[in-house]
Amino acid sequence: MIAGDLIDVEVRDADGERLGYVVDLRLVLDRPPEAGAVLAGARLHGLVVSPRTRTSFLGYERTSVRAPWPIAQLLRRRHRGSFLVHWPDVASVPSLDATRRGKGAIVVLRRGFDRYDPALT
Amino acid sequence: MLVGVLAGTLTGCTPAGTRSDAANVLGSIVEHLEAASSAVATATLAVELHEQGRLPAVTTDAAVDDATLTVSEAVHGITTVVAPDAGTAGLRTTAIGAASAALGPVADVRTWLADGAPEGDDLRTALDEAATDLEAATTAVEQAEAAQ
Amino acid sequence: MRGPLAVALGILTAIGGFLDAGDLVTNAVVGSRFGLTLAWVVVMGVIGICVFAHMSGKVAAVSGRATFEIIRERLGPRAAGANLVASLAVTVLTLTAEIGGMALALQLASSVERRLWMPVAALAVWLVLWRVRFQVMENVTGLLGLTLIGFAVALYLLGPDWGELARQTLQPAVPPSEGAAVYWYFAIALLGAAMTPYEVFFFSSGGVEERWTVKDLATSRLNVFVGFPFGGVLSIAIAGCAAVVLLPLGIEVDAMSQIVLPVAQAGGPLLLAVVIVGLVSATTGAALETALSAGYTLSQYLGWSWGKFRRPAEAARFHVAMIVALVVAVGVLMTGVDPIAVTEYSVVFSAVALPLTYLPILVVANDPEYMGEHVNGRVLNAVGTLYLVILVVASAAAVPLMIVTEAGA
Repeated sequence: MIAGDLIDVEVRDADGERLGYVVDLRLVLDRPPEAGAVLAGARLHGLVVSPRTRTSFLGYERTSVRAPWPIAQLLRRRHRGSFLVHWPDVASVPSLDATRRGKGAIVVLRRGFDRYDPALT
Repeated sequence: MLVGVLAGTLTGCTPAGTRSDAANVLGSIVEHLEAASSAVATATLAVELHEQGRLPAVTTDAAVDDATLTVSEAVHGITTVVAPDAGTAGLRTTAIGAASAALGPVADVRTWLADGAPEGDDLRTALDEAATDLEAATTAVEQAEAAQ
Repeated sequence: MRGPLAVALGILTAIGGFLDAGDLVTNAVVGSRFGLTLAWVVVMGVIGICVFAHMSGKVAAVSGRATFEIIRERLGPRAAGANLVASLAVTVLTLTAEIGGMALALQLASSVERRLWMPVAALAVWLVLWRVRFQVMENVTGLLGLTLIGFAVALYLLGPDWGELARQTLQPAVPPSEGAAVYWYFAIALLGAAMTPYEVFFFSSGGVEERWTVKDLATSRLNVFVGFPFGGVLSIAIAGCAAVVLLPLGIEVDAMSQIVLPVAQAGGPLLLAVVIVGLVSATTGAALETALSAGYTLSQYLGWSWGKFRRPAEAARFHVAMIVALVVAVGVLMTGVDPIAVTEYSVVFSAVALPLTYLPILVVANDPEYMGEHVNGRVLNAVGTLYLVILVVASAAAVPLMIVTEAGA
């Protein structure tokens, strides 16, 4: 699986209720470097789910980025209600078949998953 | 957005010949007559500047070449307008006459450049006459348009 | 090269390189129909291009990366892809207009048919792209383009009623002979001509080509904020010449040859020759820049290695992209389409695409991850945001106005 198989994909909860779309992946660099690599290995920490839009945050998920004010406001409004869900709370990812066909791909979350603040400080 | 852009381009490129009602037809004829007048004025200015030694023959020739094209496109434009009634058709005939009469003098400029004939004075008189005829035709069509 | 000489050279090439076929044609058309009543749009456009060129130059100098690489990273592949398609289409259309403009300008001095010039012009552009170093190419076309100052000289020699020209500029009104819709259509065209998107792609990628660093920021700012306004003055001088000589005679500009008639009237064959050199250099310079911009945007989006600082063999796909763009441009022109009409459409579609280009630049210039302490200040952001609103309105109005006015007929 590559990042592109998850980004833009619809997200549902265990009851099949639509929650939004995957707009970003959060990675943590805390694994030992792979052979010959300088940088720490990356681990998938979780998915950022936005309820209404597949468009990107354009970097405004960082609370330190507030300028220019109107654009920051507009993007925050569009992504209101976005949340971060940890990777262990993801019950299923799109099947290889659905990814290939380019439709019917969904991410399903575990019952009782936790919503975290997606903001980066 | 793409559809809008395409539609816009197509509409922008639509020949005025598809306009049907009389006011639109007359408006379109006026536009073509004004283009022809502009071209005749260009040719006249180019001739004057060349006579004063300000405009080299090469550039005069390019200017007149462009003017010839504009006049012939105007003639073609007026000819292909569909007149909805006899009155409009009559005005169209007048306009065709004025616009095509301008073709000769404008084309003669290039002969004059190459050959010195006809005389500069005669050439300018012919261009002036063409301009006056175009002016008169434009006024006539505009009056009919205003009466619509 | 450092020091005052480099600064002077930068400013001079910024002036000489400011004008392209779109500016030349649109200003002359507008001057011959509206006098100077639309000069305020040129002023507005010049301020806009200064602000955004400065921002994209700053991004290049601080991050060492070009606009489209960052757009791709920030917008994600899908939105950036749509942006790429629109930008590339407008850039290739502009390239077509520039090659056509080169042919028309060469025709003025040679009486060789324009359609014979077109492939020759494109071939010359390709050879320069292939062989000539970036800085040499920029400096030569920029300095030769300075001869367009001939238009300002011509306006002065024509001895116009300066009070009347000032009145038209400062108290603009729709002339009685033209409708309001046509007036606003040409206002948008002028804005598109002054702020053509390729200019910022080129400016930011050029910054990377010339290996700008934070130390070069002051020079780059000076080039933009001094050079571009002088370019704007030349734009208005072109409109002024047409307003003084052609407008009273009822000549509406629809050919390159008409643009130079006021110059001939004012200064005779010598000034005319100088201005024709300027026309050829300005359109050649812009053809080079648009061809490069087509290569830059595509390569930066797709992650190909790009740049004239690499040997062509090291950036093969970048060079192929430029060749394809040139072939497309010549192909379009060979259909016999009027290059002036292509130019007029190119500036209006530029206006349509403007927000797509300028929004990402504004966003990236505010991103501390790329910009560190050099993120935009309040004033720059306020002006940038104001312009973005104006550009969105102009972009939305462009196509409806094109339909209503039948492309300004």
